[in-house]
Amino acid sequence: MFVIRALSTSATGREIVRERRVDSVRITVGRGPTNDIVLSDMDVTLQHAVIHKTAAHRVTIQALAGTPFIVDGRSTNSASIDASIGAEVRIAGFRLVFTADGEDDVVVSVERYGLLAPSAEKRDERQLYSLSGVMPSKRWFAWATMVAVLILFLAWPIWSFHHRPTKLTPEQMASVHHRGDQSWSAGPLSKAHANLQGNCTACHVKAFVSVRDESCRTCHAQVHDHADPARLRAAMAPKGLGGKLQLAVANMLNRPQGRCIDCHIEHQGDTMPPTPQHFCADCHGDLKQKLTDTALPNVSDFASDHPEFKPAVLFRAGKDPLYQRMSLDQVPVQQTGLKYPHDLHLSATNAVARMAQDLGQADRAKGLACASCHVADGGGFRPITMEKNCQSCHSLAFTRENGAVRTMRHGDVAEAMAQLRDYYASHAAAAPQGFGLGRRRPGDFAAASLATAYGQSAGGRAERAIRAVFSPGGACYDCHVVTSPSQPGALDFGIAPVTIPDHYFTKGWFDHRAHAATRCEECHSARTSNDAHDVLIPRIAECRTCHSGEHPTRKAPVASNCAMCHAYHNQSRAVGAVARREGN
Amino acid sequence: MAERAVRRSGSILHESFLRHARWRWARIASIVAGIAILIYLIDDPKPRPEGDTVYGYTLGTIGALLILWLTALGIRKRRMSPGRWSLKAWVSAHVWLGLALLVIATLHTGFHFGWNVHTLAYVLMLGVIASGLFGVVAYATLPASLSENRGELTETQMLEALRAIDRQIHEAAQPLSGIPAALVRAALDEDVFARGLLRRLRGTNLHGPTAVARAGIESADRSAPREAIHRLQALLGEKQALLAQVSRHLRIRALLEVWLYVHVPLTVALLAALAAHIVSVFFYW
Repeated sequence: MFVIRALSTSATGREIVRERRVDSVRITVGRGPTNDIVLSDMDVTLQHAVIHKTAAHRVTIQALAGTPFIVDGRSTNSASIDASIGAEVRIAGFRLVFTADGEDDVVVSVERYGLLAPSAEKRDERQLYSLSGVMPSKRWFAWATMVAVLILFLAWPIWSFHHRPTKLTPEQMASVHHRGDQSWSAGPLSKAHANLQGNCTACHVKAFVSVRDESCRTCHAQVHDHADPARLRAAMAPKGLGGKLQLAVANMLNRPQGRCIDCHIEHQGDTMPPTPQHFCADCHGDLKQKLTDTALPNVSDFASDHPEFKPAVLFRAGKDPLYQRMSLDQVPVQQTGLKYPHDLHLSATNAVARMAQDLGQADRAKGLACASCHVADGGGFRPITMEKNCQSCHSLAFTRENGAVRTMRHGDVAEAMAQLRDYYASHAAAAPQGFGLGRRRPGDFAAASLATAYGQSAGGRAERAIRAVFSPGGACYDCHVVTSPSQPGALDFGIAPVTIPDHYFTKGWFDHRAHAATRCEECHSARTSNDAHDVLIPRIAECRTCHSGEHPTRKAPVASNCAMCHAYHNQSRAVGAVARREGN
Repeated sequence: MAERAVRRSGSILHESFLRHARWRWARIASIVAGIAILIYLIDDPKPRPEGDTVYGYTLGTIGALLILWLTALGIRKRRMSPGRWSLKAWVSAHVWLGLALLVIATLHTGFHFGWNVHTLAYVLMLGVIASGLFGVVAYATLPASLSENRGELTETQMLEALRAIDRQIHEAAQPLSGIPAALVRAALDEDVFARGLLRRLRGTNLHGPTAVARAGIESADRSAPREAIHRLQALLGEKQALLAQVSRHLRIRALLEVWLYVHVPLTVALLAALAAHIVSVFFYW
């Protein structure tokens, strides 16, 4: 017989046991109310299983609807059970425990252990409604990201720094090292330093020590100071409380003043920005107060506080030339050794213009242009030479003989005199033939002047010819400054050195290329100059029509700080000029 | 945006954290940001404004200290009313000064960005501020919809109601077998609390097992007892309505919380990146 024992728990937690006997060898299990064992769970079918008693304490259990159950942990559709040993059968949320009782009875203890729905579960409400129940903890997220950031962006760079290669070949330096400290870079280096991009420690040598000049000097060995270091220090002394405070803070933070990188600021992209003006103006703005013995004027800004230009003009030419910087206010004159009126040569209507037109050097109705002689070369111009720039009009041919043209040697006074002597020694004629009396032609200048002068001179034929070319109206005299003979009647005429200046500025530079869109006469008053001594560079006011100081204005939109025209390290004008011409 | 202060018989019953003390912190933050912008416009560092100028270092110091103070809200809110400031005052200052930080830190960068730890710190800060803004909007707007949706039910009552309905459904479904029983089983198993973040944020599930059971139970098996089926249909309808309400509740709760899962970890990551940023600047000085 079967004893069915139903176990349940009251609301207060007390266990309730209800027991009944079924006098049958066959009992049914299911959700349907007609079953001997009713399991009210939606996972149980209406007729779920049947249990047969086969012998004393022995039963078989069989699924009716094909829904398996679990016997001692194994899923099955039928099983044989020895109640004296005992067994546990699970059907959905119920547990059926088989035990033996007395000689023959089989006891089936039925107990619900599962819940009828998830909602019946006792759950922590705070967790249930909050996201914390379904999300990984914020703390875990936080720790993970923090550790990741600290490893990647702090530990790795520091490790990198301490494991840097101690010595690098130039090739190694040029190859980019993808090292941990790359993430610390504040920005790309300038093109000139691009090969150091992956090599932070080339400049940042010691931890927590700012970049020092020694690092720069590793490569830039030739750079010299701007001035005597003692005078530099005196000039740099900060003025005012703010400046002193800033200096004190900088010193406290181990950032000494006057380092290369104060002016040469890196990590600003491809092009290193021009040195900020205040690096100059901080000292030069009130230099006279700081260095009372200085000859330099105070300068703080091109637009508002800059003296008139002081070109270096040649006072005395020769072996030991003497230059003097003079303000344009003083209307300086430049020794050139030439008699060259710009106005005459630039006229569009005079004989020069007509000659240029005839020779095809100028368009119709136009005279020579500046560029006819001044050929641009880099930021400046090619030197003016007789051969390239003068001779096509100012010919030194003085006679034609059997179809051959004889030309006086240029640039060698003795040789030119010898030529004339030779000519007259071998010719009985009283005057050069072929040119002198004939119609004048462009290019016949020397012959014509020689013929004219020859008639007016005294002495031997050759002497008269020589005297003629060195006298007013003569081929040499009309262009060159002629030095008189050592004594009256002597023939040791001389030609003063030709000193056409290549540049006037010794403390700054000017690049004509940047001004290619501007017509020459906008700055140079050559068209009205009738004297080769005129210094034809424009005054500062002329520049200021376009160039402002550090801050552009609407009228003068070109911001121009000190470094646009002045160099800090290179005191020699030539170096600056060459650098500019090379486009550096 | 902010909840309006409700005045009743002359006394303020509620004032949102945004309007706290007549917008005190909003005003302070605007003044701070305004001054910072003004100095930035007047200051003309060469070659360009950056963190590495006098003003840049000043802004950086202020910004770093501000970040530390803003982070301290996490400590303050876990402690009961220490000191003079109410938590509302703290939150108000936290929100408004956090917005001012956006100005201070941006000016500190000098609009100079790159693939480096410095910009990383800035981007993390932007993430923190953006998630914080989401939180501000959520806190200012959602509590009203939360209580509107909840009606008179507390969270405990919602849970009780679900249990009661499930019990009734279970009981009513006892005579069923086959497909109708399976449909009810699935409906009983539907658990809105088991849904993950995205499904919680999506809210009501119109095609959940309960809806399916309600729609299909009658036609699934014509031989099933009619009376039980009709009772179940009514019960499943009730459960469906309740589930919709709970889902909306969970959705609003999720919106009120989800931003913190960005805000808090990003804040901690920001502190780490900020430390790396500061150390790196002085390390490669």
